[in-house]
Amino acid sequence: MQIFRFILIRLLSMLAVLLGAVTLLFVVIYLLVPGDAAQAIQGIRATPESLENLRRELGLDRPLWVQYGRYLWRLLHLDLGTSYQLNRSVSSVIGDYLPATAYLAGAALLLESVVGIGWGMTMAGRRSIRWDTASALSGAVLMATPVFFLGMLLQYIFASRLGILPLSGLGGYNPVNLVLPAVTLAAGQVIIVGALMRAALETEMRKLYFLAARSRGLTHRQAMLRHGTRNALGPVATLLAVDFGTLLGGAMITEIVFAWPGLGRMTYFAAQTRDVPLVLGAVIVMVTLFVVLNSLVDILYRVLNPRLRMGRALDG
Amino acid sequence: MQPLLEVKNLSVRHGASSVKAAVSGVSFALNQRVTLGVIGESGAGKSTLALALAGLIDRSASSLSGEIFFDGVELLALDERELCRVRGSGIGVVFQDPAGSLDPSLKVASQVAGAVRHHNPESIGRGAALVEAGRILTEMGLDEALLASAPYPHQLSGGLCQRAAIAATLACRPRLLIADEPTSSLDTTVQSQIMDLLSGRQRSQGVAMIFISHDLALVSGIADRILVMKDGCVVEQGDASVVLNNPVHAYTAGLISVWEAASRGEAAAAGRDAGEASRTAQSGPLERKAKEKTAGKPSPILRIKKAGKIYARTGPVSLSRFLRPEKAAAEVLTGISLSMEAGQTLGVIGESGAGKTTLGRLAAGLEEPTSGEVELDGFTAARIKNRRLRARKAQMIWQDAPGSLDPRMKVASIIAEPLRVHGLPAGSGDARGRVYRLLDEVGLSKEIAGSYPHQLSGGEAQRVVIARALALEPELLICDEPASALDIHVKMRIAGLLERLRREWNLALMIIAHDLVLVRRLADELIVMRRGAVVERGPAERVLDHPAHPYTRQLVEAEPRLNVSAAAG
Amino acid sequence: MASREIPPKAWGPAPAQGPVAGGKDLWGRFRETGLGPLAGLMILAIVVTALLVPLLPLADPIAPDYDQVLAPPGSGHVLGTDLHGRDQLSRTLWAARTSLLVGLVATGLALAAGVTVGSAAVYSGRFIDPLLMRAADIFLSFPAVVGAVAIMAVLGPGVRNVFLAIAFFGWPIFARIFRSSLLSTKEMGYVKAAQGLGAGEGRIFFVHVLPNSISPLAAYSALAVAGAILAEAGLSFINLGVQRPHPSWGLMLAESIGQFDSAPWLAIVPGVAVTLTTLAFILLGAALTRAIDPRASRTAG
Repeated sequence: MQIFRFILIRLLSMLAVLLGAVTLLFVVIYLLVPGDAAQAIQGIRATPESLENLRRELGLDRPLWVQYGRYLWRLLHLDLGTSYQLNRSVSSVIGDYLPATAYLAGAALLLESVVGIGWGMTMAGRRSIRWDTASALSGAVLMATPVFFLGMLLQYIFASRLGILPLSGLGGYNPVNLVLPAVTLAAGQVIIVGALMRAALETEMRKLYFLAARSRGLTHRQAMLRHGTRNALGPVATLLAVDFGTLLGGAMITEIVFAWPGLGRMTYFAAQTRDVPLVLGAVIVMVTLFVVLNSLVDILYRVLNPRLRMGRALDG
Repeated sequence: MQPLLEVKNLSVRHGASSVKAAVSGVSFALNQRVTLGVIGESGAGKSTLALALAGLIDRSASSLSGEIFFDGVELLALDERELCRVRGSGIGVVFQDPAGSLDPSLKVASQVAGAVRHHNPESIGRGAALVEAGRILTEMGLDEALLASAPYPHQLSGGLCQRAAIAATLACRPRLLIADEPTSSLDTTVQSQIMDLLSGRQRSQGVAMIFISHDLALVSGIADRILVMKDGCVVEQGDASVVLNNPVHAYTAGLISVWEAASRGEAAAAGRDAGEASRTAQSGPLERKAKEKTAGKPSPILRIKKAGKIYARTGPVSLSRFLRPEKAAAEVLTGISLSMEAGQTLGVIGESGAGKTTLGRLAAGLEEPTSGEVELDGFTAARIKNRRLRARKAQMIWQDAPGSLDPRMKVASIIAEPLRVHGLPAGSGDARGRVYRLLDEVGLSKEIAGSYPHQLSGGEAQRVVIARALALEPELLICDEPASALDIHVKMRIAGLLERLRREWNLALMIIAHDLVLVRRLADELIVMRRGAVVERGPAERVLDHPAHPYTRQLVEAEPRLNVSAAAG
Repeated sequence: MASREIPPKAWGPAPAQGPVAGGKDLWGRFRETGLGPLAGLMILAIVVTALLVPLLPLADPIAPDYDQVLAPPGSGHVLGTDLHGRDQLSRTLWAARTSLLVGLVATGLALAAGVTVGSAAVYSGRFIDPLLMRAADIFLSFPAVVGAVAIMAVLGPGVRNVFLAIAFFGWPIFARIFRSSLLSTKEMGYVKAAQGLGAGEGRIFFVHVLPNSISPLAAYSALAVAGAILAEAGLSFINLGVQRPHPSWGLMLAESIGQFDSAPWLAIVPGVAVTLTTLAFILLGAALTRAIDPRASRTAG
């Protein structure tokens, strides 16, 4: 029963965080912006009448709490407003672009977990200052390289020079198109996942139960697979969930470099034209995806981890 | 007959550069069905020896030399793969930390089942292995009903965890069992149960056992043969009765006499206490603020009247706690009354969870009782709240001495801190002089003033803590397990120091302990606590020699006694 | 891309069984792999160069010169010129000032806010603490760049808005790290011992708790500077940060799109610059993490 209570509380707090996030956006748009939203939306194209119309349309002439209430009410109905540029409902525009981003971010997440965890397991327990230094240095270089620069380099090498992979992602969900963007997006994260997996495994290896398992005749490898990995995966899974947010942000830029028809590239164009409803809609969608995924991983972690699932010690 | 285990000139050196070997030139032989007790103080290399015998030393980080023949096979010549076949089914190990030696995320039963399957020549199914695991666990006193309600290690107490760990080790059917301090982290009564279990298993399964401990009394109760280690070397070995009755080496003789003295509650070796005495003669007591107090008032320093303490459970604020507060509280102390006078030593004993530490914190004025009254030198709780006043009346000696020293401060500023806090002469040459005198008072040299805590040994750290407490010239000193992590020699010396300080400073001493050695040595009066209440009180000698309450009797009987007439194997 | 969330403990493979780190002091562990001092030297060089830029005999980074369009690296211009004939060396060095400024100011703001909120959470009692931490959760629910993009889209581009946007979503991690560090230090034996000596809350906080709690922040700060530099480059790349014609590494890379085959230096020069600068701070963070790793320091005793 404890576990159901936990899930309930976790879901409620997820909703609270989402409410907080959209409220924060509301505060940012309506309170922090110099001038008002109508001005911000229309920019230099604004005329006094169009501003007045838009204000009435947006309800900017009403008291603040009414505006806030309407804002929430519309969000609740998945109404994210109307794109200024495209003159379509924001939700339908996002609906068009979301699958491509999900596809890209999902592929990158898969790539980074498989390669990262595998690399961490291979490296765990191997000790050599020289190797450590070399791998730390190359990892840091990979992390320090901006996604767009890495993307350009990969494009140059694999598309322009070698001609073995397509330059851009336009042209459908062909897996070949996916390779370069996904690798670009995952590259820096792979290092972080691998380093954490390795550190977590080595922490487990230093624990007594690992030695005890080996004292019962398990080889180092068997002990790692049967005992160590199980305990090390928890923190790594949490990291992967947090990373998904980084991937969404990174996707924005990767998509631009590779002309990938996703949410990020759409947001980029919307930001260029200061299409505020479209940008905010995209941000709300990404925040929601991120928060929901993190909550699910939290719940899953709790369900799979007996120490957190069950009560405390029994005497006797 | 060929011995089961024969060790020849075994040495282990950690790291390439280290000069001192952790184990050097150890040789011994062990026959089937024999229990060898390995005794030595911390740093003697006992645990390294255990790991080396089990082939668990990381050979890339440490170098081993010598020979280990197990059943005729030279272990040091085996590679890792071959060693894995010896570990478990040949040599099994039980470790000191019971909870830590079990995988936290696997059910206890499946861990034991895993061991069963790993060593079964014909592969048996998961179900059959679980049945076999259940049988072994039941033999160890963990029946299925218990494991059904608490399947994971974190749900079991330390004693039950150790039973489970022993079950997992025995499930591999080892022919040699190495037990490395298997009971040191357990309460005394639980310790005696585990000891019974180990010796019973050893006899019924006919395995040989190496029992490693710092506790001579414990070893004397179980070992057929004894091997004494010091600084990585074997100083003496032989049949238990011979070693215990006619020790050849001075170190062994000294160890035995300390243990004998400890079990009788006497001062340790005479020479050591003489040392304490002469040091005082040179230094002389500090300027006591109220030396005259000794003459006059018989009024008690500490008086506790029907004190109770209830803790609110910590944790996030939640609706259910708000609605049902009584469910969320834990009662730690119920109706405790006691009083202490200057120059008196009160011992407080009981097992973990009895509320001893809470009682100490109440007495020091660090916490207020939920009900009842605590009076410190005539001041009631309201006045004790004044932290300066409270600190100068009562001081606490902390259980984890090294941990109670700020790692970023040198010893000199640690000892000077109370002076600074209370605005006593500080920062001047005078303060330094005071620090030196306090160091001298606790038997430490001036040179130590410039050290950082991590450079101190356990005994030195404890002395620094005592010196810091003395700086405020308190009237009551509360010692919470002041020597539980220390070797017997160091422990007895700390006891000697506390005894001398009590005498010369006319201190009231409260000694909180879970083992009886310190209390037997120091206490005049004794209270026995269980689950937050006093079950017995009286003069220390009477309570220890003729316990009235069954729980006290259980505690006293569970204490390992030095068994000099140990039967030879 | 920019501003990766770098968990402070994830980096720097901790020593496994070997006694490698044992017996070494803080400085010893910092320079153990040799990367710590390397990072220090790199940062020193970058900072000194950035400070000296106005005094150096460089070409104007902004004024176009259409006689020199896309000159390859070599004689006249050491690192070549861009589409408007501007000197790449000059633009790259001037951009370093912007990058460092954004990195340090944004991290400083986030650090100050995080420390304030973190200590407020610990010392203001059981009811405020969860509220502050939930507030931190809300800010953390914006994936790194996404939040900054939203702010920039609303506030409009510009350097000042860049570091506001980065700090706005950057403080919660500092708050969390500092809070948990404070909480664990508060439970240490020496803090309880100081209470026993009669020391007041203030003394305990400033003498015992604070000095023993700040080291995790130091390591994370270096990583946060790296993240902020990447974030600035990213925002400028998508035209929401530094505006034309001012020099910025991200902007220079954006302008180089489509020119990689014909004029690779347009991308390589600013790309390498941003990578090296970020690398220096990441390596510093990794070395600091390694130096203050409690496991390693424990073995020193």
